[in-house]
Amino acid sequence: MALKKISEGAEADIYELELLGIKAVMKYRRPKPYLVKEIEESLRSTRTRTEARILSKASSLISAPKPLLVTKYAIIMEKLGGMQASKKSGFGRPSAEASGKAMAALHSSGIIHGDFTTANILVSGSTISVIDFGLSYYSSSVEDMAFDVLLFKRSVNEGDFNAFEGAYRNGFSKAGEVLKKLADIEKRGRYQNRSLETA
Amino acid sequence: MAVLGIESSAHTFGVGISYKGKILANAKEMYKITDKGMIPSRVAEFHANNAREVIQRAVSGSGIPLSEIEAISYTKGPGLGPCLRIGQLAAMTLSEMLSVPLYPVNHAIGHIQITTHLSGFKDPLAVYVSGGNSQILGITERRFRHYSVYGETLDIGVGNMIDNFARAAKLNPAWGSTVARIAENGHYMQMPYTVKGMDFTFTGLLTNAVKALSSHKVEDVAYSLQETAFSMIAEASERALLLSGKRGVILCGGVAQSKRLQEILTAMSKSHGVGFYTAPNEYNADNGAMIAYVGELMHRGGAKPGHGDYAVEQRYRIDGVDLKWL
Repeated sequence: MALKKISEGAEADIYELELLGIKAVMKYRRPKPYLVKEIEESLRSTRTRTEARILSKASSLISAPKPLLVTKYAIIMEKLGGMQASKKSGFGRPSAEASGKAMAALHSSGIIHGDFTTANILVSGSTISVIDFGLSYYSSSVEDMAFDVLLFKRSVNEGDFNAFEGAYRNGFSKAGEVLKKLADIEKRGRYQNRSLETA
Repeated sequence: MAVLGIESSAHTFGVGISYKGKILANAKEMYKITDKGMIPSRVAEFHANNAREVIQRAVSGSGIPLSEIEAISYTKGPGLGPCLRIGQLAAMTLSEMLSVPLYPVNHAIGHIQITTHLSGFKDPLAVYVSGGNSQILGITERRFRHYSVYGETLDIGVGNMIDNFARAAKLNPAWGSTVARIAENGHYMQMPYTVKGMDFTFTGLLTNAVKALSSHKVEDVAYSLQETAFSMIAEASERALLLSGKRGVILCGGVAQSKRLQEILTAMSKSHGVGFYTAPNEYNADNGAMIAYVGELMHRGGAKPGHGDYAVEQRYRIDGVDLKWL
């Protein structure tokens, strides 16, 4: 199979390939030779395993890449269409609503995305897909969920966030609690001046 | 004509003199930390008793007479209130006496700016690690020119974490270099590793390490604590480096003196083809020279502090400081 590197992330490289005629992407966690072996090993293999497990669950709930093949340090998953929302001018209410619905579905199953920003949302017409579950984990903590919402909030404008919030409330029974926690977090001094410069 | 800067945010009372970016003096006196750590009022008393002598030493060492000092700067924060106020008072007195302008400086900007200056890098990613602080930062222009915090500790600073461990392990002297020496013969054991995006936390690691002392060899615990903490910082820095697109990494602050942390970040930077720099130890430890240097930048860059800007601030956040003078 011919590999073509399409992007270089903070901890993994993304390649494009074809697997049995299906367009796929491979996410390969690079070695971190500057860390002691034990820490490096656990970061690379444990995270790959966790991500694959969460992807297979998430892709049954929302539009997210289905893992096709998992090795020790790499996941080959289906390639989804669409354009990164962060690269479009303006996100738009329908996409924001769809994102709220998607996050509600993930949180209802105890999945925290960990990096839910417009850079990780693909928009294709009126549907959206969520990608990059590299920082995801399972948790039922309201605070963890609130951080997920906070990241999204920082990456969109107020109107889009309101649309997101409405859909999130409708889709998730504990949404009220999460949004209350979010208000608490935003009051903490440490986060008042933080702006997400890179989103 | 030169600028004199005073640093007094923690255990060090330092006075530096900067002229066109050249450091002409960097005198300091450091409070000896006992097993009780730092008691702010005692440290402030120490600073008050040493202020006059350290200022005189800096001035005579610089070869520039006091009459040729054109501005005074001091650390406004963050730091310990009673200690900051001694430096502020000394600076105000000098500025009155010489009738020259006075500039309040953010301590973290002092460390980052002097290191950036010495590195020769244009716009690097800054990894700032000290007792009370652990942050990964870079300058952005969004809204206004300022240091944006890409990631930081969500609880305690890495230096305080290591010092706390050293006290619990009854190491003497109870600070980072002793932990580093003990760790040389250690073997790795698993410890809690907590990175959330580009932020990280240290208290879980500390609690775990202190508990492990009763059942494991101290060198193994020290080694694992240090490796885990530094790996977390390196991973968060790597992510920030790729997201920010910066083309250089500088390491500064007290913990930057750690050879192991320097080694890890050098390798990380190299793997992305970007340069790495850390300053000589006299600038990584708290010092007056960095405050003088930033004071000079502010003076030449036309900073105009308002009446309300002179008060010391224990929690003076770096990301609120407008760098329009830079």
